[in-house]
Amino acid sequence: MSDPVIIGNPTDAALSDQLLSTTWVKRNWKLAFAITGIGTVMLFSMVTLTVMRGIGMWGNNIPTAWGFGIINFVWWIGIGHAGTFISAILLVLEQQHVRTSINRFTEGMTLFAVVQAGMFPLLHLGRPWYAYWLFPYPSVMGVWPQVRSALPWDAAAVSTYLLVSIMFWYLGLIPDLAGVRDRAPTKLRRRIYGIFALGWSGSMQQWRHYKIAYLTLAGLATPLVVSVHSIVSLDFAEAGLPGWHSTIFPPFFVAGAIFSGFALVVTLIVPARRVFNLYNVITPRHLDMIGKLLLVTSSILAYSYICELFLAWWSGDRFEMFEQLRERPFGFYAIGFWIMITCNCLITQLLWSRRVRRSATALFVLAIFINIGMWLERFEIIVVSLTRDFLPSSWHQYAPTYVDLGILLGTFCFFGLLFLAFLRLVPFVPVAELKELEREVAG
Amino acid sequence: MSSLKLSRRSLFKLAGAASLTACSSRPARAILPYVKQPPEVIPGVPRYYATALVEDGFATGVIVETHEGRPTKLEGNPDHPASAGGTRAIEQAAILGLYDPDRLAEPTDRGAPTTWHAIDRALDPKSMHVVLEPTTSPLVIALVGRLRAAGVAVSFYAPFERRESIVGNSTVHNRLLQTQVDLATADVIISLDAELANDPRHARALAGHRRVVDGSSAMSRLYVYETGYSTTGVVADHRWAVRPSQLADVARQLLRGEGPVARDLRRAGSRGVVVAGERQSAEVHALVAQINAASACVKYIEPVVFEAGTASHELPRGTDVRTVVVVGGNPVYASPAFADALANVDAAVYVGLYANETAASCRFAAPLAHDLERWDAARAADGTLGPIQPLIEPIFEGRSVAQVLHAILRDRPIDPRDELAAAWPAWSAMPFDDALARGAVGDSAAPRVDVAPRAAEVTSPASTGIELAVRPHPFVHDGRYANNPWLQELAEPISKLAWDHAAQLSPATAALFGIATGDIIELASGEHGIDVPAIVVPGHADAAITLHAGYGRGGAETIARGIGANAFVLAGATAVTVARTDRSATLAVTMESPSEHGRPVALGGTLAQLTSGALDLAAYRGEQPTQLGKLPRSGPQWAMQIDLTTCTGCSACVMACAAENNTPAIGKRHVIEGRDMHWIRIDRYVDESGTTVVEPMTCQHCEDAPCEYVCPVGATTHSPEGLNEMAYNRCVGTRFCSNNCPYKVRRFNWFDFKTHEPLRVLGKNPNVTVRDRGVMEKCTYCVQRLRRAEIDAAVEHRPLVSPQTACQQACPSGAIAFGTLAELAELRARPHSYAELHDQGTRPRTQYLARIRNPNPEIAE
Repeated sequence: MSDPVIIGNPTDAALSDQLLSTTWVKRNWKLAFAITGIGTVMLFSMVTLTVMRGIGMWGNNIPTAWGFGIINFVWWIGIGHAGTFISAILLVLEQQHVRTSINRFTEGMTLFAVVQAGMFPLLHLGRPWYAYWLFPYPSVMGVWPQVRSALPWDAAAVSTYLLVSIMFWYLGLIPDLAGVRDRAPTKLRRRIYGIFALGWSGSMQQWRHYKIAYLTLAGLATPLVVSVHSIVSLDFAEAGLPGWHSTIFPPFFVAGAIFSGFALVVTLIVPARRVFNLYNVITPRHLDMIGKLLLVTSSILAYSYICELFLAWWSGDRFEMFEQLRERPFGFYAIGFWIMITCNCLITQLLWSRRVRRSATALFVLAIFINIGMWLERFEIIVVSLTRDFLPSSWHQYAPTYVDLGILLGTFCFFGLLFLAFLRLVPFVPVAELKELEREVAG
Repeated sequence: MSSLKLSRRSLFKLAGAASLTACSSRPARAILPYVKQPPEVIPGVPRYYATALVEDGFATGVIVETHEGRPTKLEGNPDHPASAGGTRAIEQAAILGLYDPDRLAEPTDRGAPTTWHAIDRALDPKSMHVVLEPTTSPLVIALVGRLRAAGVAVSFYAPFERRESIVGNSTVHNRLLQTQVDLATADVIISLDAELANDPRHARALAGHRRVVDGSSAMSRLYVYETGYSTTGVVADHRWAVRPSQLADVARQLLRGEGPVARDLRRAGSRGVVVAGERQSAEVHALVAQINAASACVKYIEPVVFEAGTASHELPRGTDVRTVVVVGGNPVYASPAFADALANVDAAVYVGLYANETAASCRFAAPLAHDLERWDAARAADGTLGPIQPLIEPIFEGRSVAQVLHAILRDRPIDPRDELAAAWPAWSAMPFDDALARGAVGDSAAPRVDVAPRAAEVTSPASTGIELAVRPHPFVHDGRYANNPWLQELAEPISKLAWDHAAQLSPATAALFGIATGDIIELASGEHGIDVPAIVVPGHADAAITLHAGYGRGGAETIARGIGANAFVLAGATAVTVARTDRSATLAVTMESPSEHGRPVALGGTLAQLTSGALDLAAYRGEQPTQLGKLPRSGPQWAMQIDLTTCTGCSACVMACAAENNTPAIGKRHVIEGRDMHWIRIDRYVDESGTTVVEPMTCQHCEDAPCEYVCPVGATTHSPEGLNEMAYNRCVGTRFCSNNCPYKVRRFNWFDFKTHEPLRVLGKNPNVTVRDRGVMEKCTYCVQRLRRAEIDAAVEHRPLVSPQTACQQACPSGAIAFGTLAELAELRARPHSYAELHDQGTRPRTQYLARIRNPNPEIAE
């Protein structure tokens, strides 16, 4: 135990005052809500345009039949992984002391990231209104999904992940919702929070059941961290396309997902810590831990990149070699490759320094770069592979349209809107667990 | 009353009907469903009729498929010498020309609607000049005689008619003669910029003597000298890019017998032939006529086109007439000065298919009947006579050429069929009905004219600077097909440019001027100049520019209008100045990368390698290990074999597929974005030396299809007959299948691409689903034809006869073979047979025969 995970020695009442007050203390929300709200309106305008006119509103073509839609999907779903990793895996591994103050926060991030991600597989379909055909529902026609394809598994994995994330997040919220209910300044709020608190009274029996349920859900969520992105990676690895056809994809994708997820955690937590003055519960210890995780996952990615290059050469396959050794580093989109390498592997080496890991500002800047780098990684995998496949006759450049860019930007705003609402409406630092932790470290 | 039996109700009904009839300006005509169905019309069963399409006077025999009276598809007529069963892309796209909503729909007087009757009254034969397109129709020729007897001047005009060869022959043979070349028996063929591959008759003959059978057969040797890269150059054994002015020197060298090519020609003796292109000067043709003195592959016939090579084939310049009637063609576009001649007459009348430039220059414009809407007769290039019969009532108020001339002559209206039937016995011994059924009169080709060529010294002017070659566009021709979206979207076979017009020039010339593809350049000669984008074409002659005609159209046609510049402005010039502008254009080039990047894609070798056994592509075909389970097989096992030796890249197959399978044209923007919908495409690869090879690419119907196992909803599946099938209704549009297709032959409906134009809908093939937005589609091996053949065989209790796919049927070279695995087993086992991307383990049902060349060993590569 090196550094404290809670600074000072606050009382229960002080913690409750500090952490539950965010739900009713008025701050300057309007501007933030306006910006993200406008962006969300733009997002849904673009979505409407896409659904009304056709998927041709995007820049996709033949050969690049997947473009921004799938890049954004993989990027957002990857981000979603950090939440579950922190909440579930660390809980199962009994690492509460480092997870407690940030787990609710990251769970919210996961949920909203998965909401963004979930839009894309729907929207990118030629006929999105038939998306339910990917699910094994008992059709009277007797037709079922074609299970040799990774896509029905993907649909199942993502929707499972979304449902489990919602349940896990909500279950964790219940004691704190009751806390908000009990301290609510108006009757109406007490009623509303009371409904969501599901009659929580804090009795010993309730706590006993609650703990078992929470741990069980955490146990259920833990394999999802590995399975979701593994299955997403099979959307590519299953194909024969040079640049996709690779057996290292599942672990490579999972590492990348956790990497990008933690980067977004930093992107969100550093400003929140400042705005809400949470220096006492989100301590340099937490930042240090995230920094170390970023360094580990960055190293796994670097190893994977080297593996890809080496295996392309080792395979002797002319198409793989062209894709990995020529087109990605030196082709039309080479700039993206080098930015990706810089963001994901080179500048992360700064994290070897303890000072960098414990500096909120440095970590925040790094995290922004990592987010960009990880988006570009998906661009490299998807677009660069598709634009340069087997027959040079079918090669064709890809360029996104304004609708592609509008949707990408729109998801940032929609995510921001949901997250702001989350910060505004529910206690985003788990008060009950923090109190428990406080007792633990004090005792 | 009892005798009349007319009730009160019936009386009112009749009175009502009578008053309705009286209100209508036209006599009411009943339309009725078949009460007793005519025995020849069975709904759902297409009927086939023989007729011909005419271009510059020459007929190409076609068989038209009609569904309940609607023509939907054209095929070549195997009995017609101009087709021999194959077609060009142009004939395949003619259906879209018939159902073109932009066609001139009604007679107009200065743009305001009028009637044919009003136009007829304005036609004053006393001081009149009639301009027709070149004609071979005996019907029209007879009417021209009567017109001239009545004092009407008649002339003929088409910008790209065959003229120079006839004039050139007159230098050597002292009379106007048309050259007829038969390549079927030629061992050595030397093409001087001749468009052999774009003529189904030549393409078929050429392919017949170049198809490699068992690696032991003799193969003709084709030398090509040309300026631009043509489809003829693609199949050449040796090709040299020369400037237009150098072709006369080449001909002179051949006449003198100098060089390895001339020696090869001499060795071939009577089985050697030199063919000069129709755009070559009379001097070159005169030289070629002398070289061909010993050739048995050349015969001379009286010109088939009426008065070809004479002064009547000039546009009238004088304005001493009061009335000018232009029937067909578009002389104002091709010869802009003609507009002045039209401006100075009292009444100018244009009868044509479109409200084009000429229509705009005339007071009256009236619709001409489409070839598929009229009765006439026309001759093929070899003189073979064939009737033209309508497949549909004129959609608009179109009249045929003969009907227009009859109106000028103030003849009493005559039923055009009766007229043709009455005149027919004078032209041919074959009964009229038999001729209608066959589409061509056998043995009616023009007889050989025996000539003894004399040596004639010809001079040709030396040329300096950047030479210009104005050529008809392979699909748009002289601009007459420019309003056909299918033909506009069909990429030019070599440059792969669709929907656009660009000046072709070689990489070295482009580098000299610092020009890149897409830069707009200014071409000028004297006071004439045009701005046009440049496109760099490897293999083009240096210091020369090829410019296609047919663009820069300024008529009212919505599709043709506003693309490119009018090359005819520079048609008289042999040399131009080139200047770069600082503007550039985005060209719709359908293939970005011209190189194979060292990949074994379009394989090839030489005849010597094949016969010696050095060329064996066994490593590129056969079984591959697979993890995918064996699929059940039953019924005929369909397969395809494409011969790259005979494929010229003419793209008739692409158009035939579009017509058969209802694939849409989507427009330039979508082509630039990479969304073209063709189910078969012509891949083009250029090597370092600029040599271009082509490879038709369509769904390979893989036995272990990568598309099938990635589809999440099972929309693409394998049939027991080995077809890779698409269930459009099941497709949700994830497009994973396309991503995993190594051939990228799948096409996606990014938008609602299908036509909603009521007239265009008539041309759809009712046997093929029109695909909706958001679904994937691709080649089906023409599954509708397979099913039809299977049903017919079952109904008639006979063994199945393998049908032809649309691409196979259209191919003038016969490069595509289709049938069961058993039928193609011998072809598939040939040493030069290979599966594309064999190492991917897809085990495609479509295989290729590698491109075999027969180079002259005397000439170093």
